[in-house]
Amino acid sequence: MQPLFLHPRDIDLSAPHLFWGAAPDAALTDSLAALGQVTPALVLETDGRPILAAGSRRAAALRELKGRTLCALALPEADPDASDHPLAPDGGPLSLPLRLGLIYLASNLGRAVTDAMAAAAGRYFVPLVGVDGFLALAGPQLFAPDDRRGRLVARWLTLPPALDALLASGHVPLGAGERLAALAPEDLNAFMPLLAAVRWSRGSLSAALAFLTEAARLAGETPAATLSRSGLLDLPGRGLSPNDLTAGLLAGLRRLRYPAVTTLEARFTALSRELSRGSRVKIRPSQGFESDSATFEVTVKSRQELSKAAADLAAMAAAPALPRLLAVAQEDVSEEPGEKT
Amino acid sequence: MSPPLWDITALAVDAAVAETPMAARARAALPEAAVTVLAAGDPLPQAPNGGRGLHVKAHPGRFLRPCPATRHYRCCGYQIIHIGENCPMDCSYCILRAYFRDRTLTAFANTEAMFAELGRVFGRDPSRLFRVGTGQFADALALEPITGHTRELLGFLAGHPNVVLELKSKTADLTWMEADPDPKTVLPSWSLNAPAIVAAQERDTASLEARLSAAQACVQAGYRVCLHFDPICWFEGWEREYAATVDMIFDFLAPDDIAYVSLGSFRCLPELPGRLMAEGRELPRYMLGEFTIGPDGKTRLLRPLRVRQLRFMARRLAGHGFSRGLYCCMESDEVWRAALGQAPRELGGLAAHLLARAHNPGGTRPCS
Ligand code: SF4
Repeated sequence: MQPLFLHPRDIDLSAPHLFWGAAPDAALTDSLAALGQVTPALVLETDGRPILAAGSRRAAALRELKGRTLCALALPEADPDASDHPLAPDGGPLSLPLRLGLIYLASNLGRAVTDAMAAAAGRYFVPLVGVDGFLALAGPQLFAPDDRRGRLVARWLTLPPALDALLASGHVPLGAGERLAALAPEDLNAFMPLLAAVRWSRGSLSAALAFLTEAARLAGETPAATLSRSGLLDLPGRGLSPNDLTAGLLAGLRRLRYPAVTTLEARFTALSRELSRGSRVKIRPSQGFESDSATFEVTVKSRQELSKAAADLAAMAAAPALPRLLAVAQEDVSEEPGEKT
Repeated sequence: MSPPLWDITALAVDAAVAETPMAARARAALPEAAVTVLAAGDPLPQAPNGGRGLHVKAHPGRFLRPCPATRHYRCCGYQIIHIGENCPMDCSYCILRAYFRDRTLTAFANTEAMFAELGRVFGRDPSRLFRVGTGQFADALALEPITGHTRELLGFLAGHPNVVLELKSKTADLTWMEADPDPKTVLPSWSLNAPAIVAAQERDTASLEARLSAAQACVQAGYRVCLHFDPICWFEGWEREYAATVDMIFDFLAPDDIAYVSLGSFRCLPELPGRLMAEGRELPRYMLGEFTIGPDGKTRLLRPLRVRQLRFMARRLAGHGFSRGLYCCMESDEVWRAALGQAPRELGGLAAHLLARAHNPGGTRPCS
């Protein structure tokens, strides 16, 4: 194979088969400037025109270095041994786009494949060979044999490609794909601002979506409608810390789903704060508010601390808030099911 | 050709009970069913044509059991005679879903052993009163046209007037009346629900009208009846729906015709919704209520919401002149007081109160 020397600006760096293409970093540009290109790129020549098959970051970096050419090895357009390696789903020779995609994957072999990279590969291959074909052709290069990510990526690929950026940025985990795929497109669209607002774990996103969809079902409306009247879409703009924002969103969605439970909890919390102000006594309600009782708990390390706790408890026994706290579940908290919150 | 009763296309009879009257009745009632006599250890045959099987067998254990109560909630002291397992109807809230994975129905044909056990218990002290029902794991009457179990039992109980048998069902079957029991010793009873719940969540059950017509027929024959609102479900419009059912009761019955009415808010094992979804069903909306886990480990509607349900039902029933025989099923004293204005203790204990209602139309303790 004779090396070719190509002008990097003559090469299409945005071709879809270069699905992991990224801007070169300073280290690569510096290395190319100081040492020159130590590894050739790969091109496929079709009709005398070279198509870059691997080496897009090198090509992009060389564009920035005046007068530099890209050294590339040209692979034949069709694999002469194709019949011996029938990778194509129909057993015939590989189509050019498939071959380009697989060469690109092969040239990246050994690289750690993130969830977002696997999804990006899927976006390229699935339109060409379907999900099963993608997993059969590219799966072995992307996933270890016992890696369940193949199935998760397949599920993710049913989502709109706009979500891939959130996967790449770590806002949405791959495992949430199934939950998100269950949303109608307009509901997913409505939830997008919240998806982008925090870094969701699979568990927290799953809980958030369950709260939302169940609240909507109880209200007899779409999740998008529930969300739009909830006021939660304004929360990301309030300058909260990431943790507070996540907690605030989850609490708000839980309130939508469980208005009576959360009202009772809030009443109990307010009364227990009032009652235990200035003491280290912690007060817990009965399980599920099933009985008119509460648990008072205090940890002491000394005689003095115990005396103080005893005095605090005596004061609580006389406080007007105590009977209200004990009877908190007797107050009506009900709303009509489905009533707007 | 009419479809087979309850879709039963296979009748499997254990060899040990093949010669019993119940096995003979089942054969006669299911003339089209594929009949197999099973030797010990034989597997159950597959029911043909996508139908279900009925397995007639002997029950090896105790027949009389206390109703499964917990120490956290007030129990009604009911005792249950174990007559068989599984139910041909299909209610989305049914606890049997947690116990039985297949559709096979089971009926226990060793009634001689059952009567021997019951005779020892009921005959020990004839002045001791019992309130019993059948079918801890089944509807009391669903299989009656096939097995004749209740008719046989009523024949036996004729010699034990200290026992009142409650027959709780969602069918309108009255074939048990052929046993001609003393009406004072039988309490036919029906589970009722909101029309929307009956229509959407109680597959293959009799309509509300059919249940209440059957209750009316019993009253006309001299029986008092019992009604059970269990589970009361929380869903949009529940008040209107349950009011409709309560009002309908009194189109068919007078307050004095009813020995007692139980009220029980929907509660379930936490895994029930998952089981339903695993069957490919959409979760009913009433299962999306505001639930908490009670101290008995069951999922229950939040207490203030339950109180609201139970209070609503009590007031509606009281509006029709029925209040004395009302009780809450598996509830705490707190809920009793909030919903009904008194705790079981003030009635002399729930079990004693219901025993008195069951044995005496006036509802006071009979002199013994
Ligand atoms: S009728 Fe009773 S036993 Fe049968 S499925 Fe319904 S709740 Fe269960």
